[in-house]
Amino acid sequence: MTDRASKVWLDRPAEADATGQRGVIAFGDSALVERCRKGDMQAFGLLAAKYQDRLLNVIWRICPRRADAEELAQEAFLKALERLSQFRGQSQFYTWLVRIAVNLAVSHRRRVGRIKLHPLADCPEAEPSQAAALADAAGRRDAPPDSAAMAAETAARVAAELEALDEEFRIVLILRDIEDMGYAQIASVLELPAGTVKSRLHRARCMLKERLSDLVR
Amino acid sequence: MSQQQDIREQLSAYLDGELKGDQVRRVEQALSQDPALAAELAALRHTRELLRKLPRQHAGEDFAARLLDRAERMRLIGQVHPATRRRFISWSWLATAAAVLIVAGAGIFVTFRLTTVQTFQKELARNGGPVKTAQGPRKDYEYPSAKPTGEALPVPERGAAASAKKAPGPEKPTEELFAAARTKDAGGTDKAEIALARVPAAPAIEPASGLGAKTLDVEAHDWSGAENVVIYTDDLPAAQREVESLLAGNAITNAAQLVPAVEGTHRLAAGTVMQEVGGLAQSVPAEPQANQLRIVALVPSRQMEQLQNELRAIRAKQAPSQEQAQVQQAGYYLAPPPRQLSQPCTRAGEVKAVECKELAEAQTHAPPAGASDKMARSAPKLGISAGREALAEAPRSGVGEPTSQPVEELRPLVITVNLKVPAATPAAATAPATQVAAEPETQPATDSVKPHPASDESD
Repeated sequence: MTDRASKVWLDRPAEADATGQRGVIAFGDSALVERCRKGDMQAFGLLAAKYQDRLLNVIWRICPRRADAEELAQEAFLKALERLSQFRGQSQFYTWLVRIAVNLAVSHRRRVGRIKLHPLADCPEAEPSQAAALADAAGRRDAPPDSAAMAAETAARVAAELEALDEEFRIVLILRDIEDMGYAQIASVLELPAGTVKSRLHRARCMLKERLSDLVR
Repeated sequence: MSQQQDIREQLSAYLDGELKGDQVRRVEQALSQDPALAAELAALRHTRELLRKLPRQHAGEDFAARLLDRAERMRLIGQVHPATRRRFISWSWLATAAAVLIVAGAGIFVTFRLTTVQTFQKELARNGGPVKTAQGPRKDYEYPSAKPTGEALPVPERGAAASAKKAPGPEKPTEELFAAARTKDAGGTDKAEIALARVPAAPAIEPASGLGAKTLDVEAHDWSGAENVVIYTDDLPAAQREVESLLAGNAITNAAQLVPAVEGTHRLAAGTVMQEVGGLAQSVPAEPQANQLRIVALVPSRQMEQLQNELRAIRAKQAPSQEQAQVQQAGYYLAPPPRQLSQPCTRAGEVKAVECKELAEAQTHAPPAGASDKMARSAPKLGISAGREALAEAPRSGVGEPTSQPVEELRPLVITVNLKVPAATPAAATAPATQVAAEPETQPATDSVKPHPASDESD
């Protein structure tokens, strides 16, 4: 499921929709959550299918090891299911889910220590999907091999510099520029004032710009 | 904050479309007037684009299926069978309660044990003065083992200076300790009293007039004129038991124990019997290991020589030389002081040395009169039980027995038991042979003995 598809799903109303994309019946989050509360595991499966990629990417940028990221994503879904009774619908379900996931990932990262990002070519377990995703994201499936290699190299460099940032700055950048969350959503996830998110995001971008000064025009 | 700086702070929010109408207009106006600001905005935009182009991960195809499996198992525990969950919760509470009870029980046990030890020590203190446990070194005394290796132990001072020092000194309770032990029986004769004490300092100097009191006031005598016997051993407690047993077997009841190398001070009440040393050792655990033990005793003159010989026998047993080991194997009693033989040997040269050795063996084979009986009684019975039995016999034959005989002259004897250094240097190995004889002007020679590593640690 692409990011655009998820975005479409997010924007749909809470009532049951007719059909979703890719042959999946789409429901609004509120309806799915309500069905989950009644013990409908199929609704929980729909929620998981809806957000699994986005959630995995958020966690993956915090914990770069793919296996850890996938396990943490599962943990986040299970924790959300376990605490579903505490979800009052005051924020979007996905925002609440990301908050759980970010907390889990940050705790995990603090537990295992900082993990250095390696170039994509050096990470065999993630190489096939990352290479394909890179080509997909860059929109250069038909580009010459040299361009793809350069794009991969640039992406690895950017990922490494992002990884090198302090946690508080890295997470706001991930949520904003990778996950495309609004300031209010980020403030809700991180439980920070919107003004703090605004200034922290600007500082984070400036720091990353300095680190990537040879790439940034 | 200047207006330009304020505008710079807004650039990211402007880029993300998070500014309101007025703020957008202000930023756009500044951008149109300041090319540097516009360049910075472009750089920020490029940075954001680089982040947005980062590759994305896709969850595995079985991600949702695995998640549903786990969720199903979780729901089976948590929701579908709430009774199971309740049982789990109740077991959790039970486990927590059990853990709390165990911790509380352990705390009560430790508190009870501490209270018992403290009560025991307070009981001792009530009888004989303050008791200091091994919680830390005394402030008023620098322990010899805390000094650098090879530094001399404190030597008692003589004369008025020492008396002047003693009067306001911190060891005053020791006098009270032993004063409390001065009890008399119905006949007005001093009872046999054994004062066991561990005092940190060498005894202070007093005129010898206190010897007749038959109460061992270690601070009231001039111990610098005492007879000395030094024993080297690998097992300090075993040697201590042997010495105590020997003293008890000889009915030497006026004895005190000085352990200057031990951290902390334990004092037993005067009048308590010697075997309570064992009780103390059991009641006060984690006592630091000493590398030296001193026992001072007031010995009747007629018993002095015999007692010294018997102590030398213990010394030979604890640290036998080659010759002494042969003698021991032969079952003979030993041993004359080597120094008495060494002089003619050195004067007569190598040939005479053989004769001296024979002479030494001849003297060794001849036990002093009466010594063998004492040894037969006391030597096989080592330890506290032997001392206890010997003490039971003491009133019938010892100096404490009420008699009509005139008071005998008591002479001080200092028995020093040193823990052998594991890797002995040649000088240390020969030390026992040169320190056996009585040294009236010196303290028991311990200067050449390096502190045991364990004692360094304990200090």
